[in-house]
Amino acid sequence: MIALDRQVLLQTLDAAVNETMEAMFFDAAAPVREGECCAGADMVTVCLWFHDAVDGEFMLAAPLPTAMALASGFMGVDNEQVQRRDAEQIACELANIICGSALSRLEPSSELRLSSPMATPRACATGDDVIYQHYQLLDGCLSVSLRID
Amino acid sequence: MKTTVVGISDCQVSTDAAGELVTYALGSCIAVSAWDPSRRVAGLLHYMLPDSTLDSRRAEQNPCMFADTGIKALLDNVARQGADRRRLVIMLTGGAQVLDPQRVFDIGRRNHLAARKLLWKLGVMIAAEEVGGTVSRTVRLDVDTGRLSIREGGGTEKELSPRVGKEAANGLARAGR
Amino acid sequence: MAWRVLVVDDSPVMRGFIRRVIRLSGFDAAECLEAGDGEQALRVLRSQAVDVILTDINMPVMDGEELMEQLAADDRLRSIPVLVVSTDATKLRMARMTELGALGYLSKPFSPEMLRSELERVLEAGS
Repeated sequence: MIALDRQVLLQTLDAAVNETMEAMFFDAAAPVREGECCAGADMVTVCLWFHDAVDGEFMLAAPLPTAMALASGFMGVDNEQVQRRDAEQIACELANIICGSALSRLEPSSELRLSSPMATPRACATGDDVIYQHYQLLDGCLSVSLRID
Repeated sequence: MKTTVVGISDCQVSTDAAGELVTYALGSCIAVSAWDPSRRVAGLLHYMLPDSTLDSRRAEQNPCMFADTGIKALLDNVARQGADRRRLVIMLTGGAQVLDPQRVFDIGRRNHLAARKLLWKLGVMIAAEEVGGTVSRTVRLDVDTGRLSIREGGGTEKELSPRVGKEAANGLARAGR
Repeated sequence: MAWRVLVVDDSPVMRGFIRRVIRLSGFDAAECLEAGDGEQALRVLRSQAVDVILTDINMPVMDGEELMEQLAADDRLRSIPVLVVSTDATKLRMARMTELGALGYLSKPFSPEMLRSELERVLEAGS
C-alpha cells in the first residue's frame, strides 16, 4: 500500500510526465508549483481508474491547442492534419502512459491494472486527498491529478 | 585528408572520399550529421536555435541558424548530391546545458528536442546521439566511413558509431518462415 | 520475401506509433498486422504466419498475459518471438511475461529509437 507522501508522489509524477513528454512527444515539462497555468474554455480532459495494489483515479487535462500540438508531435504530422478526435485519443494514451509509469515506480513489486482511459467533461479532481500538478510545456501546458483511495 | 569546416549556423556537404567535415565548439548548438553509406555523401549542419517561426526574417537570410529550416536544408543538400533519405545515417551531437535563469527550459535541451521532433515528422530515424551535459563538443564526420569523432572540451576523442541493426531483419527475411 | 509483425494493443494511436517506427526503421519489407486485444491476435495468428509479435498487457477481452499463456500452449505459435510493450513495468509482471516466453520487455514511455533497438534485439534472439 502506498503511503500518501505528497513529496514522493509529486516527484514520481514529475519524472513520469517528463520522461513521457521527451520520449514520445518530443516536448519538455516543468512543474509549476504555485498558481494555475492550465485553464481555458476548451479543454481536453481524460480520466482512468486503477486497481489492485492501489485503487484510485488519474486525470489529465490540456487546453485544446496544447492537446492538438501534442498529438501532432506524437503522430509526426503538421498541426493542420490533426483532428480533435486524434487529440482526445492521444491524450488518453498520454494519461495511460504517465499513470502506468508513475504507479510502476511507486509499487514496483505489485500488480497493476488500469482501465481504458476516456475523455470526460469533468475538470481535473482537486481536494486534500488528491495530488494535483500543473506543468509548463515548451508550447502550452498540462494538468494532472492523482487520487489514491 | 581534406577538411571542410562547418561554421555556426552553417551546413556543408561533401562527396570527397578522402574528406571530412568538422564543426567546432557546439555548446548548446546541435550538429546534425547525415551520411549515405551507399553513395558516400556526407552532410553536417550546425544550428543554434530551435524554431525559425520566431524570427522568419533571419531564417530567410540563414536557414541553417534554426533546427527546422536547417535540417530541411541539410536533407535537401545531401539529396542533391545523390543521397537517398531512406538510407541516411543521422547522428546528433551537442545540446549542452547553458544556464539561463530567464528561461524555464535551457536552449540546449530545446535544440535537441526540436531536432528529434522534426526528424520524426520527416520520417527519419536517429542512428545515434551524444547530447546534453555541460561541456562543449567538436565533431568530425568522415565522408568515406561515416564515422563521427567527438571531442569534449580538451578531452580525448571518442567515436559515435551508427547502429547497424538491419541485418537481423534481413536475415529473417532471407531465412523465410 | 516480406516478413510480418503483429502489433497487439487496444490503443489505435499506439499501434500507429509502433507501425511508424517499424516502417521508418528500414524494415521496408515488413507487413504490419494489428489486433486490439489478445483474442483478435489469436484469430490473426491462426490464419496467417507471423514472424514477431509486439504486445501490450492491459487490454480488454483478453490481456497480454493470457495471450502469452495461449501462445505457450500452442505448438505452432510458441516459437514466435514476442516483445512486450507495456506501461506496466512492475517486477512481478516482467518476471511473469519472461517466464511465459517473452524475449523482450519494453516499458512505456519509449523513444522510437528504443523500440527499434529492442525489436532488432528480439528478432536477433528469435532467429
